[in-house]
Amino acid sequence: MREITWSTAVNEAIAEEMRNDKTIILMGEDVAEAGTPFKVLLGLVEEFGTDRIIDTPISEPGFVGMAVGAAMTGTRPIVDLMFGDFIFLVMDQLANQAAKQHYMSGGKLNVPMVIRTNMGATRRSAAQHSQSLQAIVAHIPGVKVLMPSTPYEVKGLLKAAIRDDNPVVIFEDKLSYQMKGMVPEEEYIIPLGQANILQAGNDITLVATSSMVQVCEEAAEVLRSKNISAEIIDVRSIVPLDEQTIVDSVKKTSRVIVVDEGHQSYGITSEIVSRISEQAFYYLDAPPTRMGAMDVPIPFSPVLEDLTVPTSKQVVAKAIDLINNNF
Amino acid sequence: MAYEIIMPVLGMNQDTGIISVWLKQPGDFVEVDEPIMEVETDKVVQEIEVSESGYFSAPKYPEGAEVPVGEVIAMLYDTKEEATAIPDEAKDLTGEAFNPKSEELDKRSEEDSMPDTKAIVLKNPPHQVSASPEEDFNVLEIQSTKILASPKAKKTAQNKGISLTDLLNQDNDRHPITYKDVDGFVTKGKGSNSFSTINMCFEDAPIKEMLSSLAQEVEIETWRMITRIIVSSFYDCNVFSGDTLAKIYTISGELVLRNMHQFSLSDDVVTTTHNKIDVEIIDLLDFQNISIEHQFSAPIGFVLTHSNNQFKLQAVFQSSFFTTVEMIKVIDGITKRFQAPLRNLLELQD
Repeated sequence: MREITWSTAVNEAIAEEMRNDKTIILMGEDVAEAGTPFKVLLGLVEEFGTDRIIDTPISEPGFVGMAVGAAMTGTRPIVDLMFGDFIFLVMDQLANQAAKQHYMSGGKLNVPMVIRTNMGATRRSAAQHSQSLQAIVAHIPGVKVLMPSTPYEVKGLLKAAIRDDNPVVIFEDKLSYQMKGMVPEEEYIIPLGQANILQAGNDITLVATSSMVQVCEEAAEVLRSKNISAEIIDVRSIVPLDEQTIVDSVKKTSRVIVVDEGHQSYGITSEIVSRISEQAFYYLDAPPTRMGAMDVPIPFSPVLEDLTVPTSKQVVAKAIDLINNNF
Repeated sequence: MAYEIIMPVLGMNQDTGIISVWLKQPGDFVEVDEPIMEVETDKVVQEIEVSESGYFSAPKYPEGAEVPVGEVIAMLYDTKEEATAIPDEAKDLTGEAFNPKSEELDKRSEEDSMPDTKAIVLKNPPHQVSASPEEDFNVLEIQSTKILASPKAKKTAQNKGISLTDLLNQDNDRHPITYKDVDGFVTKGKGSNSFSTINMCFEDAPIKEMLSSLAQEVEIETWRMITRIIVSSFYDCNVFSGDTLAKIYTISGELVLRNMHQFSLSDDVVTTTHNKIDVEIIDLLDFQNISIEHQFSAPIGFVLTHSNNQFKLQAVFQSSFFTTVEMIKVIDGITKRFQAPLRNLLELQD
């Protein structure tokens, strides 16, 4: 084990996989000679050359479409989509083409493509570069969606994603790139569809994705000082979802808050809450509760922007309300 | 064998059909494939044939009635007797039903009629059509009375055989019942009633005196050292012979209720017992400001505490077993005994 940054973990995952599998290519805006977005891909072009690390024109629909075609014809492309917000630009390539090829070709075609993109506000990037659009992708059958929370998770999940034969979109929090964490030196993989129980507890379950895991960890710390024991579940994989771990936990604690940075309405949290209601209904002692970003465009004003996303303070307040039957 | 005749579905989006004409009288024998009525939908008027033979009986709707599809509209029986033995209310309908209006007959459109359309006939109807629908309705109404409770609380209450109504108290006006409420209730015991509490305080000076004069006999020095107090002739209060009557919480030691006779739940039932009442003792010496409401499993409990030269006697009781007035009498009796001459008050247990 050593402590490395998120960026290094991503870089290592890609480099390790590219060394093992010559069919893997990486493409995106500024990924090669023009420098790399958030400096995550530093050094890759030097090792693998411009044949495998490909700078593309500024046309997301163009290069994602290209990657879908390349994936169907024998390569395993990793696409760098500089901002999660650009998902909207590539929806036809992703949702109508990539997600459906395997099904519509009767299983003859695979699209083993990974889209690496990001999510998360509070980086002062304004409304068009601050969205958390995982729910929109997760809605499409045929695409897998991952939301790592630490350098350890991102490395293990990204490697699993690259080896997966389906289109996978991995959302990384923009603020996480410099986050440090313990990562083993030896190779490891985190299988898709496995949630992680970060901390066991008895009074309430906090289900969280991506950076909201850290928010919930802070909240759990405060709750502990108030003699409330919270169980934290890092979902890690949105599609496929590890329903069992979540449902089992809620059966134990009878109360749950699901936190994701996407807008609160019609989001990942709603889906998880819904499954809890269906499968743990008779174990619930309080309404299963969602927390997400406000249903507004993310403001540019730092003061306002910080108000829109869930904070540990809000999670604590909500947890106490649920435990005191204040609902 | 009896068969139900059901309003058929004739079109894709059809919810109801109008019985335009009944073609048979009650008691008429109907052959398989014979038409028994004409049904009018928004598109067609159609003769409806039956797929079983039998004696036509009990048309439930008059001509012109609009009936939801799938509804039972008449019956077929094996014998004429069954077919004509129909309830009175059905007779009224048939009287009206069997005067076919000629103009409606004329309206019949021959080309619309599809001869092979048959009424759906169900064998052996599982329940009588005439079963009173109000009964079911009442059941539904009772069930729909909303008591706010979490799913877990409801499930637990159901498993333990507790009615949610019994769990309602003032607090529940504000909050839904949660697991904690049910759990707390369960530990109170099999009873299905809420508990009430009465407190009475009295000075400890006379008791200390009394106790010290008793000291040689019972080997006690102070109240705190009391090992056993026996309250005899615990009259005027309702208890049950043989049952666990009370949990008694004392500062230290034991309080035993004896001779629990003259005790009646109602005027005509007088329970008398000379059994020693089974009493659970919990030492509260180390507890401050203890709240005991949730710790009782008996219908009545007493807590004796001592602080600031005062004794506090707290009685917690199930309101279904004791009224508040009765309980006040009991507490009053106990405190009087403490202050009365010693021999009346305290006895050594044999």
